[in-house]
Amino acid sequence: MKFCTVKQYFDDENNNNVTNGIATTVIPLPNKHLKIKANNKEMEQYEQELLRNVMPQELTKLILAANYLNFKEALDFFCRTVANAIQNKSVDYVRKFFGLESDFEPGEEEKLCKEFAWSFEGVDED
Amino acid sequence: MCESSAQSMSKCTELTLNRDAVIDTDRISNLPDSLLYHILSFLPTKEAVATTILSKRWKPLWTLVPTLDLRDNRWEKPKCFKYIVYRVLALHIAPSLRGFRLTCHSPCNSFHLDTWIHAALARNVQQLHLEIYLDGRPDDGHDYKGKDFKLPSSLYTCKTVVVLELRGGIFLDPPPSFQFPSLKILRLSKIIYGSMNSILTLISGCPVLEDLSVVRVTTNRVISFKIKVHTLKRLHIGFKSYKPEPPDYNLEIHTPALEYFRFSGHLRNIVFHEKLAHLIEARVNIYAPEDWTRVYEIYYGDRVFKLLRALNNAKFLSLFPGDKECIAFGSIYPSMFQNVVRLNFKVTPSNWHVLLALLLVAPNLEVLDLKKDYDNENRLCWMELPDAPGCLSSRLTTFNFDGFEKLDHEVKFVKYILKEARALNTTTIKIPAKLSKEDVFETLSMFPGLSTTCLITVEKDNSLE
Repeated sequence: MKFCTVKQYFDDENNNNVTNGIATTVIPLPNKHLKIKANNKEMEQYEQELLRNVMPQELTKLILAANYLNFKEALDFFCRTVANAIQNKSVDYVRKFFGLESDFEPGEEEKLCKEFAWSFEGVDED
Repeated sequence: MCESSAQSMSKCTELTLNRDAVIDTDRISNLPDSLLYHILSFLPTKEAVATTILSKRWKPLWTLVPTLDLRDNRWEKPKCFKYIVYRVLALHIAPSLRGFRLTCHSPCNSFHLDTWIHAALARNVQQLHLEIYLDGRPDDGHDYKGKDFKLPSSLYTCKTVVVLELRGGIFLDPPPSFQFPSLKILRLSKIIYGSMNSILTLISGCPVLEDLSVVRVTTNRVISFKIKVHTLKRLHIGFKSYKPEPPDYNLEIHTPALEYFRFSGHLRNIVFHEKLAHLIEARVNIYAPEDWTRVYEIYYGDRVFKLLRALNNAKFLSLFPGDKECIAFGSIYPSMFQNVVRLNFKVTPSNWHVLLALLLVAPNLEVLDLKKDYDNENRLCWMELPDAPGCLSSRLTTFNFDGFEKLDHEVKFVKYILKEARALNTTTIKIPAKLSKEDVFETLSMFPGLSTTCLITVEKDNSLE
């Protein structure tokens, strides 16, 4: 039902978007989802377990794979996980997590800090 | 405030950053903008805005995220929250909103709320979640007694809303000829209704409604209402009350396409007018303060069975028929639960007989999941197990008992199941920390007629104490 694009993937040999490793994680998801859809608590535990085994770098590939396969539930799930990982964290933590470096002009960053001071309140201790 | 770099890594419960790993610049920043918006759409707006400072590329991203989730924290000054919301609405430029969530727990003037809701409606909002207390949210456990927020009339003409959730001190009074042509999911929690017909008027204007949840805090007068939706697939009804007097209500339900039904709270009169031929799952959770049941207990058992009879087509049944509510009851199940494959039951000393009666009429049961409601009174429980063989489903393969304390009646029951369920292949018994696994296991393995193909596991439940 959700896998019209999967067939396309297997037909398209030059596809680099979805490696085999990712496919084995993404594809079994719908069955598990259906089984425990009713019980939210179990779902959270399952999600936490699944992601303990996945490195942050892999998440990028998983998100791209889910997007390519048009698999909405998996895409939402992985994106939500990234969102949860950066929620309430300091700017430096999030930069490290995303692999970013500040490329602002001097003073520009401070200006933003003042302008949106309210959004930086209540951050976890690093 | 905006702190500059700290050296140690913070705790991350779900994912850990390997300190020694080379920082791979080819990471999430590799994703296209559309997927970054999607990630940010799961954050409260406050957090999304904070990403503006990450880098030049990230600076404008939050303004195009198609969701807004504005929450005020009670410890923040209310004036601050209003200022923030107006600024965000001015800077945020996503042309249409997939979701708009407004949670207002501090006192707020209704014209601000009107303005903000208008802004969302103007952007073709699809999912709208409002939780509003005009005079400030009361502390947990108390009824809200302040002024109610009247929804702006422009809301009742919204053609784009697909999900609508209203909670708190909101006054709902739909005009007689309104329509929500796209609404599929409607959640109403503890709000105030203009009249008895408000709910019916509201749902009559929803031609494609599939999912309805109504949780009511009951009032002094008798509540009578109808739920008549032939497209409805999921229904959740809840009746809660903080008042000392028991509530009274009459609910008529016409939902022939229903697949999922959930009830929680105090049970009074619920009548299903059509057979629920498509019902897949039913969850019934009944509880009421002790004073009520003392007065009404003669009728309570009958009410429980009447409700269950209407749900007898379900494949998955989850039931807590209450504790003291079931002490006196009339007839046992007059109908069969032919389709029940999985039964979750919450036992107390007062409702074992309900479980036993149900097992007699569930010939296709495959999974039995018992959870005990911990009761420190250690009441005596009288249980009469069937003498004749063949009373238990011959398809029962899995049996779980969470909360086994080796009480007499529990041992009797487990022995009965282990002996009668011929197809049983997995049994899991969860015991509290105070018991010993070996001791329990020894007791179980001494039962006569134990199947050699059944795997029995005894686990400790360390989550309590």
